[in-house]
Amino acid sequence: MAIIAGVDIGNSTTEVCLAAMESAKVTKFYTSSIVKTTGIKGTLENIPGIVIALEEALTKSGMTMADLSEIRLNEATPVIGDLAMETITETIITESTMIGHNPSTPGGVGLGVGQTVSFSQLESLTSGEKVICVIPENIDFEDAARILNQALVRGIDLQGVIVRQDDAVLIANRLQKIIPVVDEVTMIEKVPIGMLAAVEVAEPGQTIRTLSNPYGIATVFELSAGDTKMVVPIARALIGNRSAVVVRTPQGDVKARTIPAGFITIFGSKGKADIDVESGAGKIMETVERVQPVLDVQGEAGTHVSGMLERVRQVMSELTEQHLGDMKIQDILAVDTFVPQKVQGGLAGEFALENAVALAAMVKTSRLPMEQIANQLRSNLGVDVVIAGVEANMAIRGALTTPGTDKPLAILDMGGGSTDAAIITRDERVLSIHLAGAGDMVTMLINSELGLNDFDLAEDIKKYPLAKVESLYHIRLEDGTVRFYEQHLPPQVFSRVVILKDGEMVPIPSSHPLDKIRHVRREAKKRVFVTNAIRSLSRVAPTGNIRHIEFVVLVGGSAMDFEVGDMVTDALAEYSIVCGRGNIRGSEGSRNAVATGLVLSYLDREA
Amino acid sequence: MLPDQNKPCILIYLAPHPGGEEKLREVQAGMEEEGIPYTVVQSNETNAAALSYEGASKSKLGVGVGIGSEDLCIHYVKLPAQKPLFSLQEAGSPAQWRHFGYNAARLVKGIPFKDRPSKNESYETNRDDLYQIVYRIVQKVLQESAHDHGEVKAWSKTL
Repeated sequence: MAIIAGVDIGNSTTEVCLAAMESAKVTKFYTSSIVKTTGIKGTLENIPGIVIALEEALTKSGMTMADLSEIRLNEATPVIGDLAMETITETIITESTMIGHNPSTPGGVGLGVGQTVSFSQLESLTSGEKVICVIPENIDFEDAARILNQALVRGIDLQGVIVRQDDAVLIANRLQKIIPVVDEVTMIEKVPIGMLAAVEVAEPGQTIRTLSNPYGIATVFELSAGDTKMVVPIARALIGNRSAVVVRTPQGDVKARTIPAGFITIFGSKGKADIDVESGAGKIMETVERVQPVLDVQGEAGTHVSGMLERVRQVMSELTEQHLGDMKIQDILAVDTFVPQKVQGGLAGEFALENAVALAAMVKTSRLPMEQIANQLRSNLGVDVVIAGVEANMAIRGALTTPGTDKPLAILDMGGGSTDAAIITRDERVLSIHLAGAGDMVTMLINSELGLNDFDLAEDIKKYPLAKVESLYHIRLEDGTVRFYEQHLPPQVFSRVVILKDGEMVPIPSSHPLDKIRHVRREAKKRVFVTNAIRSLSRVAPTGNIRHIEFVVLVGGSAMDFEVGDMVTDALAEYSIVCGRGNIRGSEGSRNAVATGLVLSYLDREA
Repeated sequence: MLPDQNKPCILIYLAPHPGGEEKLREVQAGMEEEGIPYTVVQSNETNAAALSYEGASKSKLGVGVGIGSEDLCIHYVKLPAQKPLFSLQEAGSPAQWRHFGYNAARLVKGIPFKDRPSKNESYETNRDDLYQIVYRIVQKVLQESAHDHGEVKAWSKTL
């Protein structure tokens, strides 16, 4: 009897499958194990991870390293991916033209138009003037209200108030006249004084009507038709707010400009094409499909795109000790996205949604230094180590142990860095392909679209379902069901959207409602995984037509996700393809396909 | 003074002490800014946790604030009596008292609590940040003059 270990070194995890063999048959599968891959896949740094994974599986099966007859390693696919994001628009407010931060409690109601005056100037004003008062920090609300009321008594036509502190309701409640009050303006000292301005606050539950309408602004400031055209970005930025301020300054402006992002050149076997990154993901992917298979991609020198593409090449070149010039980018996936970014020149920390293009790129080289790993492992452990075969073939072998599958069969391996597809025909021919874009790209999209600036949090949002904490004692889950708790929940999670991570609640520090976060998460997964599933299967399909594939098995880490499997199954059902998550050996789920395949390939050698 | 038992409001229980009125004023201001009604009750009890729990159990909204001579608490009727939701075990600053008002009101409104104010809030940008900002702007201007194919829409100068 021989004990064989199959070891699959992946981008993120190292998996082991243990089995006993006798007379060219598997007599028993033992426990398998999964640990985090140490170092970059295909380097000597992987060895500690491999040893831990082996020991874990052996201990669980009541064996030691000495019982092992052979370790079989995969010929890891020499693929490495990288990601980048290019913002292609930006919003800049010049001369403090508007305030649109939407504080939670503005005061008063209505629309006021007048000259801006500072709080200290108020006493020197003569009656009859239409003014908007700007109140700096450290003025108590009672003092503020008293002086404003005195001004009203003197006959000054106070039209509205702009306040630094969170005092709008307090001041508005103490004024003799109902006027709009906007508060929490952090850069109050930058509000231009002596300019014509308009302040608007809507009734609770409503949004402003005048300042979000270009003709409304035109009416207030008596603008010409030409000028009205120019205020459209201002009106647009204020849509949906409950309060707003617009100041008319000589050169004041809200600019929405396009940032030059550079162009990329795609070299394909069907020719070469240039495409501007600004033109968006749709156009980029069209170009890729037109010239595919892609032989190389280059970015315009001196731009961010080129920097990112160079970085991928550099890493890969160092890893394989091959010449930088031999590193060719074999695929890119572009996705349109948007990024909430702080508006340049904003007075109260306003954000604007900017358009961006996310890019995943992938480099493939001839071979990773697996031989070195095998030699090192052999001398460390004193066990025979064999490099058993191409990853795709092994994965298919493993996937075929899923009950209810048969050749011809396609597998879709959705990992962290790349999406791989392979197909085996009835006559045992295997064809495989690797495409850029997978789990890591989804994380990047979630991170940027929700403006989190926290990759670990984005990763958790990707992996776990959400809930809304509705009281100190109960939460409502994504599907609407309610869960009660006997102990009260911590105040940090009160009324927030939380991630339910292994029985723990992680609050998401943003004001996005649950539906929005869920939508962003699902759209990110669809745009990467569903797109890549269809893209990759079309390429491996024997006739080039995705409909000619009958069975697809999903394997790899991302197939274990709580919703990706269903999304891909659903999308592929349109092409009448039977698709589902693999269940390796009928027990392992979508994990362990390659490791299982490696063990099974031992039988070929015997034969 | 007895609170109006029928009116839904937050009950603020106050142990009269020097400086108590200042705390009360800020707590009230916080609730007013958030738009939630309150009633103030004077009490002989001096411990804020006990004061706030009494307020919470008598309040129609189930929320009470206790202003003790040395501490400040927010309590919710469904919590154990000894465990107030928020508690300030020191004299504190006006900004902190105001936040207790905000958060008691937010507990009623069911919206996320405001973060605790930092001790010495400053709105000045520090030198490093300033350097970064200037650096970014210079870079941007240089880039713009180098490329200059970004579309710029300007709100007319003739305004």
